Amino acid sequence: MSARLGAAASASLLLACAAREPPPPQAAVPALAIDARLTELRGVEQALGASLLSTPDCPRAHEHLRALCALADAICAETREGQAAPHDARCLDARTRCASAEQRVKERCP
Amino acid sequence: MKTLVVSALLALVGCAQASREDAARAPSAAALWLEGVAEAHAEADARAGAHAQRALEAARARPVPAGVSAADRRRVLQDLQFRLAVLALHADDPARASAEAERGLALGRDDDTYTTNLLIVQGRAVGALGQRASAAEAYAAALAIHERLLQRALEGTP
Repeated sequence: MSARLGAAASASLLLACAAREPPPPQAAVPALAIDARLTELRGVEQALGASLLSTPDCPRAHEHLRALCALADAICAETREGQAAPHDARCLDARTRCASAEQRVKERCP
Repeated sequence: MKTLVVSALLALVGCAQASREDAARAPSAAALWLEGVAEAHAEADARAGAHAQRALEAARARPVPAGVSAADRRRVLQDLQFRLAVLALHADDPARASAEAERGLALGRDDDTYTTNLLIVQGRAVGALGQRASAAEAYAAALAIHERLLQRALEGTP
């Protein structure tokens, strides 16, 4: 799927270039400038590729998020019953991890 | 005479071919074992309590055939252990539930539902026994697995 997406993106870029009006004649560009531009473009391509290659599995992510936060609740319920200081730290840690996971899921699976 | 010999040979070959086809059609020991486990689960679905427990225990007692991979063996047996632990919890026997969960976890741990299920039921069992810290520990271990599985899901990796 990721390979197909990559190919589709490349094809769209190619089509966009082909559809564009021919550029006005320009003065010759120094070779060094071209190399720099190519490097820059490869960077953009890599950044695009990275985002296209890693398509998140959002239903699965939501499922794990629900389980993770339910477990955080269960940890806190146990520590409330136990009322021991180190366990309160464990509850806090679990809640923090739940909140962090929620944030990550929100970012990747809006 | 010649015809008789050829006929006999053809019959023999036919028989040999038939037995080879039968062998190919016959379910493997691994498939039969899995079928037995599935039947036990179905019986446990249909009949609660002691009947379900006996069916699942009988499936657990069956020797695992050589063709079953170590990973599949762990998953299938852990699933049985999970159900046995849940049955014990429903029967108000947290000590047995904890022992069943422990037995399942002793088969190995991985980042999967089989392991998290056992950790959760273990948490419930030891929590019911008043061992709050152990319960929180089991839940925390399950949480860590879900955290890693979540990361994989977000990265789009299986």
